[in-house]
Amino acid sequence: MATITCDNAEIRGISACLPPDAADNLSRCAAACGPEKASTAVKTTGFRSLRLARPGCGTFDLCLSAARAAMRETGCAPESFGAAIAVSITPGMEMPALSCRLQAALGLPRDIIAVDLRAACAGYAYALHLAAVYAAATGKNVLLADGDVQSHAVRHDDPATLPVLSDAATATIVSPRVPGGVGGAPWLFAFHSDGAGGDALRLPCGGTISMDGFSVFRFVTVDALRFLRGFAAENGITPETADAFVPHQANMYMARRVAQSLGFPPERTWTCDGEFGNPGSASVPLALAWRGRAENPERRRLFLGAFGGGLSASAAVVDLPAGCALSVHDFEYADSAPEERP
Amino acid sequence: MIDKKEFFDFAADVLGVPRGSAGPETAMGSIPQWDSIMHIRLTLELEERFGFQVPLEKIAETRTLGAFLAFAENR
Repeated sequence: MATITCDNAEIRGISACLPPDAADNLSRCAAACGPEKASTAVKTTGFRSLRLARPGCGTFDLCLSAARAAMRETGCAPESFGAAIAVSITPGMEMPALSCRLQAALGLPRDIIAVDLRAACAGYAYALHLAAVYAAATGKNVLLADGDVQSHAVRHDDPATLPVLSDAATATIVSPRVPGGVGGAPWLFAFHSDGAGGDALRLPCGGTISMDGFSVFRFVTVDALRFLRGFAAENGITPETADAFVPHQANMYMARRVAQSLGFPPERTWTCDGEFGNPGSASVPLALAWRGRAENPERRRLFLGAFGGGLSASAAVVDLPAGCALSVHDFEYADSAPEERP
Repeated sequence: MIDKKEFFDFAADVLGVPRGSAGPETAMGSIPQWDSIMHIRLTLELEERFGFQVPLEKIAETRTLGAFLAFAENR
């Protein structure tokens, strides 16, 4: 396994934006799939409710709201940015890129790097690595927008995805940091891909999401777990060297068991406790903002582990520095400009 | 010590089949109720009720009630 080290970036802030409407998972699934399948779905996922965007509200709207909050809370002016990265499997439009639309809507300079990244549920660490590279290359801040409105691409009679997939967006601001300087330790990354198993999770252009849940489960519990264990062993990551493990919240059972298998007890595992569902790659930064707000405000070193469509997995160790701006807010529809559905 | 009758009756209740019809040979795919989603629920319910854990990397390949019972008895 090749571990990539970055010693030149830090997280200034993470803001998350959630649709305000919380759907009761049991009653929603019962109406679509019947009470028995609904009961099984809620029991196995651990998701009591899902945050779902209304028709007409897309990934761009949620990302824009999250980005505005992050810029306001960190005090980062538009001209301080050198790059914008957008991570989404539901960007709303194939072209123009979500990152370009955010650049224009936020008034970011026209000479920035603006690029979209698609890496499904494992995507946040891929983008965080790219953000560190761009921060060092430009010497400026990087906006990392990570969000999805998956519910508009879910079949309402599919018991595999209906009780799981939800909507959210996050904006992370990454700033350049002097290598070896105070206020942070090097970030570590590793990545894993198995495209041969890719049919287990599919979203054709303009189509709906399909999931072979058992194949995904097998990938996570065998291959991705082996990958995460290897990363942890190679880099000496244990509950003694990392403050918490932040898993992708595919479902609460898998999140909890993967953390346990890596040696992290529930109180050292950052999730959203089944409140919001699985919003895709945004689940990791959402948990960082959600749990980070309430935890000790000192610098924290965190082990991120994510897995999903591709099939792919990612592992990272990053710092949340003291004073890092973390927030979660509900989307306000009155302020939105509707966009096209994915 | 696991009471095997209790174990298989509980599994039958989770699977939604008549008590007495589930035994060590009952396997994923052998009855329509035991699909991939039910597999995760069955694992979770058996673990909670009988106080054991199938190692995470073994869950996907543990596909008979007899195999689950073996983990429960070796907890």
